Amino acid sequence: MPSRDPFLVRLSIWLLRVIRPLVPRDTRDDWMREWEGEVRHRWSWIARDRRTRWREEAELVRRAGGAVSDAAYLRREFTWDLDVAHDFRHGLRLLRKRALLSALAVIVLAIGSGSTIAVFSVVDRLIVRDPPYRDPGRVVTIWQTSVDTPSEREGASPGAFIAWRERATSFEAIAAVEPFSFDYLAGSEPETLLGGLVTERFFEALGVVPLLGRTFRPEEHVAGRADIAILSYGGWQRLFGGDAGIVGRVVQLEERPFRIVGVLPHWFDPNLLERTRPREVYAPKALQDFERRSFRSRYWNVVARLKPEPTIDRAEQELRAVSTQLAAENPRTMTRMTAAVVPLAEHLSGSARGPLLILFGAIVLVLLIACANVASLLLAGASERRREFAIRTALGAGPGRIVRQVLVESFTLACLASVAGIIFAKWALGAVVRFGPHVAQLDQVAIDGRILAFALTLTAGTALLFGTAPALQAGQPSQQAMKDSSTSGTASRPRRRFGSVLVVAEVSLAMILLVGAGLLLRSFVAVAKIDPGFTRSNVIAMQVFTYGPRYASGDRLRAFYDQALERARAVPGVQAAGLVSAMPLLSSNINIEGGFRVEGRPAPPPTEQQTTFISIATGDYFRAMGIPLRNGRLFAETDTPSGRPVAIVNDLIAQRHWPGANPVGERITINWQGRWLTLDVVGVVGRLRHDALDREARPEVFMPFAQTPFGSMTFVVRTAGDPAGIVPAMKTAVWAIDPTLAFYDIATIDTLLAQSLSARRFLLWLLTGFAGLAFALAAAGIYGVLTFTTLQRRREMGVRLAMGARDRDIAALVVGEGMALVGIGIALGLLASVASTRLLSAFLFGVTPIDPLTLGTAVLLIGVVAFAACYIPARRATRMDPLIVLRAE
Amino acid sequence: MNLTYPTALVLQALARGYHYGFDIMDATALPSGTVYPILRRLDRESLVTARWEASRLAQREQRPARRYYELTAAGERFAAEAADRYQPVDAIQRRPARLRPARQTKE
Repeated sequence: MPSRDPFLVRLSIWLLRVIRPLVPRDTRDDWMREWEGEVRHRWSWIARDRRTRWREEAELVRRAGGAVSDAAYLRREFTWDLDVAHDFRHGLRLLRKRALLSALAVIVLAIGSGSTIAVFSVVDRLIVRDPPYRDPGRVVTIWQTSVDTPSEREGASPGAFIAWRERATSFEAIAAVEPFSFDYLAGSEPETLLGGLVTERFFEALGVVPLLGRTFRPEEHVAGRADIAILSYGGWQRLFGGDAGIVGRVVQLEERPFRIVGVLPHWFDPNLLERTRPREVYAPKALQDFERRSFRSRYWNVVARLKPEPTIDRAEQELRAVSTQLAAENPRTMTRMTAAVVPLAEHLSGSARGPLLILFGAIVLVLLIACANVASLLLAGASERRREFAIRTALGAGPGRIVRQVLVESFTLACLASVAGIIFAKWALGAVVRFGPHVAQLDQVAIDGRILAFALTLTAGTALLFGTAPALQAGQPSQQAMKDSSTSGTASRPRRRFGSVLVVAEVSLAMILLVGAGLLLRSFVAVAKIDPGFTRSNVIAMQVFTYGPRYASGDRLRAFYDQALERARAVPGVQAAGLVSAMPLLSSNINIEGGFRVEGRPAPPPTEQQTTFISIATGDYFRAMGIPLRNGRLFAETDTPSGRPVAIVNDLIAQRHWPGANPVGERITINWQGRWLTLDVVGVVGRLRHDALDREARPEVFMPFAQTPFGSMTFVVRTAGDPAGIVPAMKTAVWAIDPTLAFYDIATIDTLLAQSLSARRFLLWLLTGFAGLAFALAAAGIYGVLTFTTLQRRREMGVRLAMGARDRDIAALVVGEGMALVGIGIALGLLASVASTRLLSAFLFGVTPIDPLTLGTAVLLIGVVAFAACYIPARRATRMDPLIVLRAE
Repeated sequence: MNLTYPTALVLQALARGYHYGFDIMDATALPSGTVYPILRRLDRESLVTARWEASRLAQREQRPARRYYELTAAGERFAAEAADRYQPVDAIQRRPARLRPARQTKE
């Protein structure tokens, strides 16, 4: 039959066949039959009448082509898809048309959702998600605490750990790690690797399987057999370039051969032991006899794996009972000491947990406000579009259809914002990991599938949140709306109230955050300006530990350091090179505290014994650090071992013990390593801030290195140029004397100062970001609400203009309305910030929470920006032509 | 169901005895891409019933059967309502189905 068909019929049928697949499967055959029936029927008709044939033929093909709309309709009815796609395209078109409004909405949402995504990914990694250890719910860390201060957790003393291991029954495995460092000489230069000695089944207790090789066997934790080591992933990469054949290789550590038996996975970071840099080497610990009786220094960290049944509480009760026994057995050292069992997950998130959850709550709040803001922007837009909706309704769109369209538009907006938000989150996370304080696992936070799923949910949620109000409003256009050629004369009361509340809330929130950020900024500047008592630049500190047979006597120490200093002074660019035992701000500072008395004065009662920090130094230390000499002299060549023992005190001691008098020439007695030494005071120097810029200086007595040689010293070198530049030359100088000496820590004074400010800087940075965010939200909110109400009052303004009001009057009307709300917001914000900055008081320095300058600046800043946000809609209002507005009514 | 202007036209055509898709197009001058979706919607809302024409007729013309649309009782009422609402519908004249109607009734 088809072969006999004329061309046009064939063409029409072919068109229908092409269109056919669009039709949903179950009605496809009927559809084809119906259309073919009509086409053929029409053809048989056309064929009978020759006169109008060409017009009819053209119409036939046209109608066959129209079948595509029919098919599309059926498909759409079937899936809804094409409609949604249409709405999506329509949404994009509208966004483009209202570019400023849309850009504003997208930016507001992007920052809101981006920050939420960033904070969520941290919360997820640190709190929600299980740590990567095997069966982590059963892994716990165990700490010693005092009954009096249960929240202050300390490590475990070797004796306590051994007792726990022997007496507690709740654990499948319980193990400890002792901090240890290994001198490593096989690299390009000698260096000290941080590491740990671990007791039996340490890695099994944690539930970590090595990436390569194995863990330690029980029989390897025996003295003399501990010549094996496990590397961290970082250490493996850094020292051995990730050599796949590392297991079995023998490496010289501590001038002893160690065989590498395993490599740990990259995520291994149990947040144990104080860490200034990553721990790279673990070796088996062989318990020694004296450790069983060692209860005083609590420097081991303990992990354990619970047996399946006992709960954490049961385990803690058991350990407390053991502690009570220990206290009875060792009253001097263990009285009032008890144990705390902390789940691994909680330990890993550590101190970050509380602040993180608060931060998450805060950011969700900010996001909610962002949504409300966008809702108000869209409401403003929706009121402009009432006619569009009315027309659409007249053309047959049901309320559901309109609601859906507005929701799809919201979703389009949310999608754009989400993409921008994810980019923002990625950037923000990078910054947090880089500048934030160290938290275990933080560097593993990444935007992965889970986070993307969260972002998607968030997008849908926000779209619903800010889209529902405008959508519902759009869904019920009145018949009136179609007749109205403009928007109605006045805004509806509830909507205006919503807008007003929004503006007031946003302004006060921005105010609180701005005041907080301002106070932190003032504190930061105040802290940064503090005189630490020493110079801020061109100094480098290089710490060494000289122990062992080569440095067994004072003479040997003196010989080494004298030579080293002599060579250091010869390095080009070095202006002064000295030595000190306690370098301010250095992380592994050697702090020694001892009793202090002024000779010739009655000894105070034992309860009021005076103490001082004691440092060993050379005279050039003071010159290199720029420490001012207040009185007397610095140490000199004449202060030899055979000379009279001398000391320099800082001005804090001078003020405290010789107020208004000169201590030079007086004699003091200090307790140094268990012996009381009597010293002549030969000089007074300025006080130093040792621990941090915002921590008070401490009393300090210096003794000359020549008279009290010491093994833990730091070279302090002042240079003409960049201090980091002389490091290689300094190393060469020292290694010329002892080629095996490793530098434990090297830092310029700039870095040390910056590090001491880093936590403060981070908090400042975060709060400033939040304040900026709230600020932007407030500005956008004011702008949106005023644009909306101004539009609503267009007729009123037109009448006013027609009655002779000048531009100025109209602008004043709009700005006045906005600024009244802003004023209320500022007042509420001021009250709230006075009430809430107490939370910040721990971070404030040199400012009171009610700082007039900060408060004034915040008010001014918000006032100016709010004024600008009011002024734009106000100007637009003045640019109306009253005739057009009135005629349009 | 929403009563749009094209819907009113189609209803009126049905009421005046145009029962096949192409005939309704002739009567209303609406394109096929408008008429058919309206018929589908009316069908879904049970305002029209659809059935296949007698196969005898189709066999004689050696083509598949055409589909025959008829207003239901509800459809009749809806059509009356439409006629009240949209006066211009009167522009449709009773005329031979295959004559091409004038353009003036186009939306």
